[in-house]
Amino acid sequence: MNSLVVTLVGMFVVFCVLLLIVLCIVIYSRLVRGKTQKPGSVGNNSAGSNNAENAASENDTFSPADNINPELLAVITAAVAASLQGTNIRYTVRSIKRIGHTTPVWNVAGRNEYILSRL
Amino acid sequence: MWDDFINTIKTLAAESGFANITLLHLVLIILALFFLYLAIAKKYEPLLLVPISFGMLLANLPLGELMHPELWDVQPLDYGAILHNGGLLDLLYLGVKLGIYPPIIFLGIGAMTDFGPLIANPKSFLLGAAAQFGIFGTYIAAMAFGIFTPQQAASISIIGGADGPTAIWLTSKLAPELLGPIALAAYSYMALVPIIQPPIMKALTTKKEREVVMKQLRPVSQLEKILFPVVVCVLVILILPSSAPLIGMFMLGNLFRESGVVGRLNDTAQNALINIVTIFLGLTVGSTASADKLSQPGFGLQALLIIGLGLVAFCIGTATGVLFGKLMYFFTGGKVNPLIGSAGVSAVPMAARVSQKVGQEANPQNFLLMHAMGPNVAGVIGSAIAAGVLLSILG
Repeated sequence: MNSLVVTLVGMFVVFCVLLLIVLCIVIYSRLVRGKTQKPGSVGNNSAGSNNAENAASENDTFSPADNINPELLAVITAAVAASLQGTNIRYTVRSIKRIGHTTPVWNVAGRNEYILSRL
Repeated sequence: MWDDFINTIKTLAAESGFANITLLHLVLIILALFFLYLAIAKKYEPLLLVPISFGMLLANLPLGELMHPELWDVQPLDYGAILHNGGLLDLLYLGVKLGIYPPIIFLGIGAMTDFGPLIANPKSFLLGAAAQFGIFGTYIAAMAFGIFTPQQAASISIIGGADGPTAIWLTSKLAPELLGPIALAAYSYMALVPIIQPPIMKALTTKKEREVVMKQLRPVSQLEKILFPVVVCVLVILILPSSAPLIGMFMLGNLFRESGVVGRLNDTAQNALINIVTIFLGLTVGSTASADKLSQPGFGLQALLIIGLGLVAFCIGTATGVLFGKLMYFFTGGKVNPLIGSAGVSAVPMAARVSQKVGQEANPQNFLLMHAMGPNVAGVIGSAIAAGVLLSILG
């Protein structure tokens, strides 16, 4: 068979199969996420991983425009609670804002080096 | 008495490896030692290069009788003769010849792979597909030389998939006579990804494109992760049955990981099993690069061309991945960093790490690693599909 034909057929099949997989992922991801976000389903599960999903779907209702991961919101709030534990300060977390990087450059370099050494 | 002693010593000397060693044996022993140096001192893919180069060393020590290339040159193969007269490496080589080791390695890789970034951003699949042009572009180049059969050209081109087990699997099916040099080229270039890729990535992108910070990936639920291997397995194997051994084992390993109910199997697949098979695979693949094999007319030239074409395959794959990334950058209004496209050539996780490193050179606050892991694992699936296509057409 002509090598050009093999190349064209090969690339066509690879693209088509991977596109089909993309389509399937998009469809089932929407179904799964739609199911977990249904009202009434929150609180029905007690497993750890499902709690995280439920927290995510609850948070989605009030922070859709932030582009901040709902799980991250929960982690930041938990960190605030942990740091204030034992004090008498009463507080409410009303907003979480992303601010620019203030990390010293050496800390960033150290973190990067650590990440790359773990790959 | 004295004469008997001298004669026995003479006989022993005549039957020793020293008396039977040839110049080609010596060259290959030095080459094996060089690869060992690269693996141990330079840490180039040591987990594979150490067994491969040691297998090469063992096969080139004359009269060791560990490997008998003549048993494998017979068509059709006489498995009875191999079992009765074969050496240790001949018996272990059956796992390569029968296509057993690469799928088992894929089982382990599947158990180690997190498809989360890919599920979170399915568009990454397209970058994994684009990088496969390295395979098919090299197929055309190899055919243009006119000294390779289509089966040999396909086996050489799969080096561009940057996936050792896939290259070995396809070559053992299509052109087993080239297994040694192809496996060596594939693993050597995979180790050289941090040197080969960055100049191409920088040449094809502007600083502005390299600085793009991508949006954080959404969290992926366990259910989505469990569905992924099942869906991919059914879909791909129904479309392309020839890819079943690689895709099937890859997805089974991933299901072990994501199901969370077979911890022991998952642990075995990603540790003990893959390590055992890696030893067997490396040793036997290395042993195919023996002097007896290389002394066949024209083989030296073929080996040199394989090394050159392997490099071409890697470069084309990287370039097309980055160019497709640029296309996505354009169509998404600058939301995709084109550097993640180069990770589509597989070589997990090295290629993703290179994307991260080059991205961070342009913008020190940028973390592309998880975004690059998407095309990276998509590349593994893409190259397995490409191997299936080549096997279907040319097998």
